[in-house]
Amino acid sequence: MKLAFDSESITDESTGTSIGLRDTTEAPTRTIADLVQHVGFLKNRTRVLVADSNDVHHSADELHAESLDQLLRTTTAQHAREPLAEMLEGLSDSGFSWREIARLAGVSVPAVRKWRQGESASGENRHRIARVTAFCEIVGEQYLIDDVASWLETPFHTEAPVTGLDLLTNDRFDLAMRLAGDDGVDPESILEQFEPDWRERYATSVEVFVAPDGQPGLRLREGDS
Amino acid sequence: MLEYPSSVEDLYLASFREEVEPSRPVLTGDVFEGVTIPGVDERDYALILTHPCSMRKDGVNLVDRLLMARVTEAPDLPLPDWATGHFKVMPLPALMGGSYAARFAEIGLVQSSQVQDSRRVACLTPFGINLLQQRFIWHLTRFLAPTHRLNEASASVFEEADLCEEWVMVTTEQGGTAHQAETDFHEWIRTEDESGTRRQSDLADPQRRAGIRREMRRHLQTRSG
Repeated sequence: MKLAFDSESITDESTGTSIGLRDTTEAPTRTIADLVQHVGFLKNRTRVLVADSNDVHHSADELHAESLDQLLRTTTAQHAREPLAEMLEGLSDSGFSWREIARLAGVSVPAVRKWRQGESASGENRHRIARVTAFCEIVGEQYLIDDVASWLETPFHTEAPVTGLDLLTNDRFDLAMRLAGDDGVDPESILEQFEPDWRERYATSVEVFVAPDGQPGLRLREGDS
Repeated sequence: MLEYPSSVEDLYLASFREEVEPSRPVLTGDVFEGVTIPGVDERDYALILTHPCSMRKDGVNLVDRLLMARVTEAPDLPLPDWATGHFKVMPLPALMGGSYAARFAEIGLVQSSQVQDSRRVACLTPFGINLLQQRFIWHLTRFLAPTHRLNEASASVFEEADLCEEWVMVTTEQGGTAHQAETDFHEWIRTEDESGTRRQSDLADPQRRAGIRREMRRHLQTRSG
C-alpha cells in the first residue's frame, strides 16, 4: 500500500485524536532546538561579558599602576627637597641596614657613611634615596604595611631568596608596588617577570639545617643524596 | 657552574684601606697587609678564610689562630670566567686599585694577635664572602654549594657584624674603647628582647632583623641621653 501525503488535508485545527498531543509532537523538537540556541546565545554572551570584564579589569589595573607610578613620582619629588641626612635617618629609623641603604642607592657603604657625615650626594643618588623613602611611605599608607623594612627584607616566595629589596635595587618599583597591593597578586608571577629563569637558578638539593652544635649547616636534602 | 658577581661593587664593603671602617669586627674575607703565614713565609697581603661562625671564642675575642690565604697580584679576569675556571683562587679585582687573588694553595694558621696588629685593607660584602666560601669549598671538595644557601646559613652572623660595627661606631664617638663597646654589644645582643627571645636568635629570621635594628638604635639614643 502506498501512503499518499496530501498536504492540504493537514490543517492546524485539532482533531479528536490530536487534542492534547499537538504540543507534545511539535514542542519537543522546538524546545530542544530553542534550548540549544538559547544556551549557545548565553554562552556567547558570557564569553563577551568575560572578555569585556577582563578588558575592564586590565584597564583598571593599568590605570592603577599608572596612578601609583604618578604618586611615586610626585612623592619622590616632594622628598627630594628634604635634606639628604634627614631622608637617611628616616630609613634608618624604619629599620633598614646601612648596607641595604647603600645597595638601594647604588653606592658603597663608605659613600653612605660620608653622606651621613654631611658630604653631598649627586642628584641621581639623592633621587634614588628619595624614591625609596617615597615608596615606603606609599605602601605604608596605601596598603597599610606596618613594618615596610621587614616586609621588604623577607623573601616573598618560599622557593627563591628574592626579596622586595631586590626588586627595588633593580628599579622594579612597579613589581614591588604590585606585590604590596591587596589584590591577591601571585608572588610567582612577580618572580617570573623579575627573574624568568628563577626556577633553574635557585633549584638545589642543598638545604640548611641546624647542626647538633646549634649552628646552621648545609646538607643534601633527604632523598636527593 | 660556580657563581660570579655581576659587578665588582658586589664584592666589597671596602676595597681601599681608607674605606675600611675600623669599628667593623674582623670577619671572613677581610684582607690584611704585612701578614706572614707560617709555611708560606712571605710577608704579604692575606685574606681570612675561617668561617664566620668559628672566628670568636666568646663572641668578642678572636680565636687564637685564623686560617688565612696569601693574596698576591693576579691577572684581571673577565667576571664570567670565574664560573668555569681559576678554581685555585678567589679573584679580588679592583682591590686597592689593582688586581689580586687569594691563593687556596698558600694557606696557613696565623696568630690572631698578628692579624690584629696588621692593617686591614679590604672587607668583602656578604655576597663576596659567600662567593669566597663557594670557591674554597669547591677547591677542597669539588662540591658546589649554592651561594643563596651559604647566605641563609650565615646571614645572622653578617647581620650581627653590621650591628656590632654600628654600635661600636656610635659608642666610641661618645668615648670609650672599641673593645668595651664590643663587649657591651654582645651582652645586649645575647639578652632577651620584649618577646622573650634572644636578640641574637631573632637575627636568623629575616622578618625580625629590622625590628632588632630599630631596637638597637633606640637603645643607643637612650644611652647617649
